[in-house]
Amino acid sequence: MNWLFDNPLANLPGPYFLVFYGFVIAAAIIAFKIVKSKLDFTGKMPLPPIPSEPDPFEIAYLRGGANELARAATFALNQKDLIEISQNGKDIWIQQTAKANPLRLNPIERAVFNYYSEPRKPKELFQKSGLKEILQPFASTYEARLAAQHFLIDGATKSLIGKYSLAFAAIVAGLGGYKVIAALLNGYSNVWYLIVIGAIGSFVLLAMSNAPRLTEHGEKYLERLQLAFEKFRYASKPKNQIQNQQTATTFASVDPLLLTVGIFGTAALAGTAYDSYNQAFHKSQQAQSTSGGSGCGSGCGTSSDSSSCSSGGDGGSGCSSGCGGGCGGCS
Amino acid sequence: MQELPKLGVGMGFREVYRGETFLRRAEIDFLEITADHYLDATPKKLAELDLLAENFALIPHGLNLSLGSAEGIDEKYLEKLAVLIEKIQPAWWSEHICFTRANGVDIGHLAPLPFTGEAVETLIRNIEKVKSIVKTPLILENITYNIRFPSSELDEAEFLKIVLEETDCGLLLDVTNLYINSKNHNYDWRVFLDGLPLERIVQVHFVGSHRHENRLIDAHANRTENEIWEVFTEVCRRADVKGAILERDENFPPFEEIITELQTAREIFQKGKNSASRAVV
Repeated sequence: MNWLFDNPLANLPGPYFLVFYGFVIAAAIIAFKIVKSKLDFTGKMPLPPIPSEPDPFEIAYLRGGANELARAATFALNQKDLIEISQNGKDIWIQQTAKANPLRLNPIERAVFNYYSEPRKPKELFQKSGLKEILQPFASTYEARLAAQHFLIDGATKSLIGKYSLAFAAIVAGLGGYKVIAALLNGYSNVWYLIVIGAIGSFVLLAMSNAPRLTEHGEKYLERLQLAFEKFRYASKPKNQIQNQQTATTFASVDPLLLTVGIFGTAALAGTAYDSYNQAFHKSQQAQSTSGGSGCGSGCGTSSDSSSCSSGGDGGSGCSSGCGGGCGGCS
Repeated sequence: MQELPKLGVGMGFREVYRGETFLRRAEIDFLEITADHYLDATPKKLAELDLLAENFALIPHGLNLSLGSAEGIDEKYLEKLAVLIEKIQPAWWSEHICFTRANGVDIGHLAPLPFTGEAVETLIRNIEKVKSIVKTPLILENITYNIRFPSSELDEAEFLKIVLEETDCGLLLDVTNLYINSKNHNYDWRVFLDGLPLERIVQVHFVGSHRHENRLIDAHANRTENEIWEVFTEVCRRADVKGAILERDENFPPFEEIITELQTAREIFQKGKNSASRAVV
């Protein structure tokens, strides 16, 4: 017992121990980052070719999960004039247009169209029983398909990351705790710095346990898609130019503007003929932010799953995955 | 040149059409990239190169090697070109029979050479140097010229034939340039073809010409006209062309027009291939 609390580490003077402890925390953070990146083995996988008929909804799901799927699907109907966005005072409403005649809709669009049979506020899309929930079967299909292509971090890897995070946090907290006990046994009581530093270090390590949504492979593929279709972004183009451009680039099977929304998010519509669509979600985000939300991640729809800046994505692939205009993409 | 693969019909890659190029990939057999755009490239251009290489067969097309410069080849430029070609491993690569640099000054233009023995020797010397560094087959492109140098000792077809045979290079026959030169200098392009080593034609460039006053210009800004399709058809009929590239650089139309031109070229190309096979038999 004497040796346990009477050794060079236990007897290290407080200031020196704090420096040593700081190094240990930094080393733990670096080591955890390395371990975390090693758990994603997809970085060197060959990328699949760019599809010649890309599915904008699938790409939206890849980029930001179910929230982005809901936004892209709503935009698809808005573009077809099947739903309209109106403003009543401060409230924005989305609903079917009076002349809506949906003859050719795919199953996702059909589900979205039916959802808007009564007026909805943009924020409702992401709430319980909202559009996001209605689209869950489609989201599950996309999830499985994207996971099979190693684009998404799987559950087992997420769990492993969590365990490693706990282990590293335990090492940091354990070392700090040991020193606190040793200090108290040796008659020292000025341990607050140590406790605070230990708590911060452990907290940082636990906070890092959030696994990214996309694998490195998935991130690279999304970047490739964004590069391939970058020119379809109509941001800041006036309405007449957009219409000309649409004429120039509309293909039978792929709508470039919908593809743009799928790949870059609704923020890519800023300054275009569809700016009102972008604004509708942007305003809903602002409204939520002022009523208790905390900026980008919290305002985009759900309180449970948008923990990052990735256009209100489902779990946070981060801004690097192209939220198309930063936090503005959360609209 | 017979062992080179058939690549089909493609287009010169243009950034403005990047998205459309991927969406219509099934109708584009291969892409020609401007090599110079990727020599001192930004990370984004390099990412674009990777993206293109992952999705298409690429052929690099150089602009500024200045094979006709009497002062020799710019070795730094050549090294960069070699690195690019090594990276994308194309079936062949191409440059122009011209000079773009004189006394170390880049003149920013494809300038024609006089059709002389001295120019032939310069080309042979420079091309040998290039081939000692870059092992991938090199094909050479004919350019347009506004004046025919009075000192010329050969006609253009003879000049090309000697250069191609002495350097053992293939020919990238720009049928638009051929047509433009034939009109501007009053000769029959069919007779010109008679004088070429047809077995060395590897690739063809085509695009519409542009009329300015009484002359035609290779502005790369117009739809391919019937007269140029006629030259294209005749070349495909006579030679076992491995690839044809639409070379549009200006006045970009809706992409559908590009696709329509590629379809027309493909129909001709496929018929030509068969007739060339029969001719060999």
